[in-house]
Amino acid sequence: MESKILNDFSFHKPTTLDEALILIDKYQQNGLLMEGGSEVIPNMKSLVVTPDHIISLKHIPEFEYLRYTPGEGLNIGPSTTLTKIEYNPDVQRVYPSLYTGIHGMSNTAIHNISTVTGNICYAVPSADTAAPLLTLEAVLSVRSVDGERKVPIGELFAGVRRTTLKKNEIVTDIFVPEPPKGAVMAYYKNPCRRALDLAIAGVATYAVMDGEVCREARIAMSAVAVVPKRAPEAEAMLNGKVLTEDLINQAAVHASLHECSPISDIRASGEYRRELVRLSVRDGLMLALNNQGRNELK
Amino acid sequence: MIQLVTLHVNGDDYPLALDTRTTLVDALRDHLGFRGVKKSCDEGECGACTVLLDGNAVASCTYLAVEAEGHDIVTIEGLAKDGVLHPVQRAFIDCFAVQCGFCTPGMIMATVALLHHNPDPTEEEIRDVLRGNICRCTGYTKIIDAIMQAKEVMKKQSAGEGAEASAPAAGNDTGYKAQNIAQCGSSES
Repeated sequence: MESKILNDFSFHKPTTLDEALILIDKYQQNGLLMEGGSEVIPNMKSLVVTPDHIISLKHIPEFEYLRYTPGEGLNIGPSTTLTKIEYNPDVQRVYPSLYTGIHGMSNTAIHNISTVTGNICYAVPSADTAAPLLTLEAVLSVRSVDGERKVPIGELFAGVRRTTLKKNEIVTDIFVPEPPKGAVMAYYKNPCRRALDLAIAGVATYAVMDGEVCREARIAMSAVAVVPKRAPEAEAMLNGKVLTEDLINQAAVHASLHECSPISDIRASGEYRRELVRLSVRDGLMLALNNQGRNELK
Repeated sequence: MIQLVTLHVNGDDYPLALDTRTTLVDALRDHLGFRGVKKSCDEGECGACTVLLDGNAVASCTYLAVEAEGHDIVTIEGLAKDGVLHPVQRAFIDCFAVQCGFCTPGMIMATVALLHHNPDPTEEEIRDVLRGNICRCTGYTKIIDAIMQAKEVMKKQSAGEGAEASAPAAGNDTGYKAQNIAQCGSSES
């Protein structure tokens, strides 16, 4: 079936950050920032978004970088494509859950244009990089004509396709702190099929062990609430405790019953989603108990 | 809004006055006549519209044509050189990896990009990278066979044994031809 973009818009192609900041400040009421466009363009075709101005951010050379600094962390440029991140050996080695999240998304022809910034700023509940970045406690640098501020990713999501960013703000960097040596992390997407599908229930886990004691556990979930979110109560059940299979099961049950609110839709029932949350939290944390899946930091 | 852009497609520059709403697939098909680029799902999920943008496979239905200015675009029409098919095209024909053919240009462009970035992929890697190219006729076995053949041919070419540039790899190829021609013959007679 023929589909076209119906609403007309002016297209802006800034080549510097300053230019982009001025443009989005001027058109903040009816303008839309676009990175890869893999969400924006299909959603313009179906009239989910109808901007008067599209400001493309992929022509700003200073926006394209991927820098890993050992001992500090990873800086992701807003225009860096998923392909570049996915195939980066440092990302694969140090941030396996982020790698898994990106790898399971969509397909190669989309990976070559899409970005992590676009994925999280478009803020769909099932965003695949959201849960891993929540457990890694990524921090966004955000700029507007009024200045710069830092936004922890835990404070980014406000609703379906809504973020707490102001309409004239642009994400200029995503910083992912380096996890401590031996941090065990995982991401379970649980799609119906391996490619080109959305998560039924996405779960990222992260655990730092100190012998048998769980020094810090982090759990984040996507596609099971209005926004991708952490499970702080389940985390508190684990933090500072001797990790056992029983305790992991209790935390997994708690997260699935009390810390998400999945809907039933064409992909799965709410009950099934809760069950996937329980199993994924359990499996992710069992990796820590069994001393598997550690990141390979020296 | 109408915007003036120059698209660089298959080695040539095409100045165009385009509505900003035009996606790259529509510009290539409707404005420039590159009908080898197929349009199917139109939301980046099927791979039929895959073209090369600076050597990378890109879904041209989720890409605005005005954004493609300054990039090197290659469509299926740009692969054959001087009437000689690209080894990937040759392999798809030799291995009977085409049935209705609608997914084929996308499959071939995705394969060209894959072999450019990874000249010696395993079958698993091929299936992974091509997971976004959907075929509803053949199943994927013959497509994978074709890519394995193309890979071997291109490896030989780059190793300097490329005198018979587009000749398919002997072992694999004869096997398939004999088998399939026999099948065709029996069904036709």
